[in-house]
Amino acid sequence: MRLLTHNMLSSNIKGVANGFPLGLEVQKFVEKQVDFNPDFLKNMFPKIEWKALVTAAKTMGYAELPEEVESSMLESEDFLQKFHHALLELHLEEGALICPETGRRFAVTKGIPNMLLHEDEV
Amino acid sequence: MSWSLCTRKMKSIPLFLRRGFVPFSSESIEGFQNSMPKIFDRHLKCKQRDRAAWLMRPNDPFLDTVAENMLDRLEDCKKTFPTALCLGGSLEATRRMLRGRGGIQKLIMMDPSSDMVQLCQSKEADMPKDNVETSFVVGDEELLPMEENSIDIVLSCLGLHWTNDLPGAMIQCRLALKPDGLFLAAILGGETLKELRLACTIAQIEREGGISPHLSPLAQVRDAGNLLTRAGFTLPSVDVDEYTVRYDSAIELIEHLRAMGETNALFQRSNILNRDTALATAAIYQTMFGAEDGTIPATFQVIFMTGWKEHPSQQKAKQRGSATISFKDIKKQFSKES
Repeated sequence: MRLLTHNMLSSNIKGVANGFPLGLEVQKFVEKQVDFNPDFLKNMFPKIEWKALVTAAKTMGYAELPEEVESSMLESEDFLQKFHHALLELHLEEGALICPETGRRFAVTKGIPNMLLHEDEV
Repeated sequence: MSWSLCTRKMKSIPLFLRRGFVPFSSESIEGFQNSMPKIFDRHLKCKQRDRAAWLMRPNDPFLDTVAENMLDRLEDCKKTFPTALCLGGSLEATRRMLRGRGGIQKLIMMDPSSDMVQLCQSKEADMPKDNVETSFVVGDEELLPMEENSIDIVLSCLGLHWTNDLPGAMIQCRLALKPDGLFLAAILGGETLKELRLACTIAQIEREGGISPHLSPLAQVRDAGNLLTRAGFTLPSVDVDEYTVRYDSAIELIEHLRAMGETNALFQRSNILNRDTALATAAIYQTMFGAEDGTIPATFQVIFMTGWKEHPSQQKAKQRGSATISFKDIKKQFSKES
């Protein structure tokens, strides 16, 4: 699971007011090389919840992203490379996503998060 | 549109007769106490889709055609949709038929069946290189685990008709969409498998003296527009296609339904179909609808639904009573000219 996907997922448990962003519990992560595509990154940049991405990247051991960003930074090749690496090349293979309110763990197995809820959570 | 599907050797007892008896579980009883009406057993549907992941025919012509016709609607859109969510149903066919349409760059494929999601993940390597970043999530269409305003387009090809709360699922899709985001779905309509429904009903009356539900209820065309409006989508549009698929026998039709994960998942289903009734159904089907070449037709009605999330740039109907010219005046004007 890429951090790009993590940036869009939210906890949907009944009664949870703010299920975003989900916490990360990392058991195994891998780095997979992906072709660098600046246009894709520029397209995705406005859609990304930046603080959530920075926190998730740090949990995966990558602390190169700046805490604050602005669109002018998209002109910097160095920034785009870091953004690309965090967004697309860090994969959570095994672990869990954690609801920020309830602490409920959603298992991630073989890179696939299981977001199904139990009967009592609906 | 019609095509014949290849025959396969069957074991002596048809597969659809060999369903184990499943007692009415406490889990399903709890479901009835829930405020939301429980028509379908989602847990069973999940198991059926797990099984379908292993039975699924490669490049199923019916699923491919529906996915192609659904995605064809993206050709009419000038707008691009960088982030897409593809919901359960014929996920793999939708991914294969995408072919760069809609300007999709990031695709999240979601299904409640983990086996189905893993199948899609394993087939991703064989997909055309169309620069789509694809990721996979096991999740429920009834409880979308998506952040609000995060998706540009929601696609669902033959999946949403199994939800207990279809308007609720569509509302969640709308919430996940960004303003001016597109909801594009194909669901099976009420005329689907009308031949099988009729044959099964006659066989049950004849052999058992009454009927019990063996086929799931499906949305009618007239309901689809109301569903879109009720879910809060703007500029709703609905259209219908009917496909006729020819099979060598009723048993092969059932096999195909199993391979698509489209078998009965009603809570109030009778858990086993009497052998006599099943054989009578097949015989009646053949007698009433069989062609000269021995094949039987099965109708699949597919309802295509399109709706947009509200945005100021969209055209809106004027307020009632705001017109400055009456139709009577226009009529007079035309009658003068003629």
